Amino acid sequence: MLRSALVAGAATALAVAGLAIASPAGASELAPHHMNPHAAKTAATATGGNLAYGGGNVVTAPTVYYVYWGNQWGTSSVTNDPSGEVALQQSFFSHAYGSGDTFFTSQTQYCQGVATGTTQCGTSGTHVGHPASSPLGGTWLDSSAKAPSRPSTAQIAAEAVKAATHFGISGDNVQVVVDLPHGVVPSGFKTQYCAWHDHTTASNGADLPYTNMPYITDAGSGCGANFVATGSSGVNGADEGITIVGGHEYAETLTDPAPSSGWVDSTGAETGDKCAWISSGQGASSIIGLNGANFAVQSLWSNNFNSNAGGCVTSYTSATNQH
Amino acid sequence: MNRALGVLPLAAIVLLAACSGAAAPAAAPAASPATANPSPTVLPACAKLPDPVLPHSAGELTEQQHGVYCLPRGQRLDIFLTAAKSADVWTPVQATGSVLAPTSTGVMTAPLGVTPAMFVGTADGTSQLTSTAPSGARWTVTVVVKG
Repeated sequence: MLRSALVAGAATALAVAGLAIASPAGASELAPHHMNPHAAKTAATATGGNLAYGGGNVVTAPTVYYVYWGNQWGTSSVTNDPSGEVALQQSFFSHAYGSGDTFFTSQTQYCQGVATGTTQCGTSGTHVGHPASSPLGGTWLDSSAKAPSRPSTAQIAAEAVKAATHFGISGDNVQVVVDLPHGVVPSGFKTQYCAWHDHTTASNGADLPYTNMPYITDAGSGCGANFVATGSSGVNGADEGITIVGGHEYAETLTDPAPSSGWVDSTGAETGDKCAWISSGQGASSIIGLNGANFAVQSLWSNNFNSNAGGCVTSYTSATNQH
Repeated sequence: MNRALGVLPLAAIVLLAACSGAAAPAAAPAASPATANPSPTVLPACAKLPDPVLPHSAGELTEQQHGVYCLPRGQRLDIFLTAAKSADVWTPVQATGSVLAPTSTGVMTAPLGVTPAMFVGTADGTSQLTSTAPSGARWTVTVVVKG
């Protein structure tokens, strides 16, 4: 079942990728100008300083699993997805690997197994992993019942555990994204958050990182629609929030899978928070290329940017080659 | 005993304000004169926090709330301040004293124009939370942490 899910996911991802214009391999910045000035920032948040290690785990071998929760998505396959979120999410992660991804590589500087309070791992410790192939481990349509119209945090966590059991996974190297269907609005979505990640306990007692991912386009510009000018990238402006928010949560799970025992700054912000909704200047949200496909993303925090002063970056090849 | 009685009127005023649902001004902890015999700190009355939307939280506040709110020691308070209009974004929330410790807001992606903050109550006492907006708007809430 997992294999079939992966094959289906890959096929969808390729179809989506085919809609995007060709771009060079690597996370090249294609359209750095934003379109939506509402409440956007023009510079990175300077408060809080660099991220510091909290003594817990990071994700050393990332794999992402998606569960489409509820028969509102469809009964035997996903048929109710007006914004095409499923295909775009799968495409995004199917392209986030190897040398063709110089976006998520900014997070590989963070590590575990070093002293608490460390801000520069160097070659010490075990670093956040960067997959050599697609980190998308599997997808599952759980159409066994209708998802609640306003699911509680406990219900979302329970669905993550259910999906982990389905996939046969657990531990901090996996993350389950609970995709809520169009029209399902958990309390706080759109007004207090776009998505969030947390961890719970899998049925075997192991830790289980998961993400509550509501139907992002339901939130419109508040959660990223049309935040970045698309230019000739082929990106659909209305869908930008899907990958902006998706990349934010993925990166934060890589560096802090069991909040807040991983990497956070002195104010409690994680790697994505410090760089959210930057509209111009260093770290501005932009459209990048990942292995030949284009996606809108926000920048991520790099402790070793600017001679270890730290900053928000959208491309990272090494400590001395990032922007 | 007499000092405790002396702060009761203040506590009663705060309690009445909190119970009335009106926006009560932030109350500072009662000042205690320097003496050789310390007395227990009397914390002001406080209202229950609105229900949270995130896991592991005791409750949340928005720019709509003012006054004095209770936070059980060791638990987390979430704050979401939404800009009233474009470019009028609230500044990062500041907490006075040391009874509130900032903790990870990174569990979530805040919507555009929302300033989030999270604090854990680390010791009994009061703390004043503040934030301002470019328009001159000012948000202030007093949090009473008690075990």
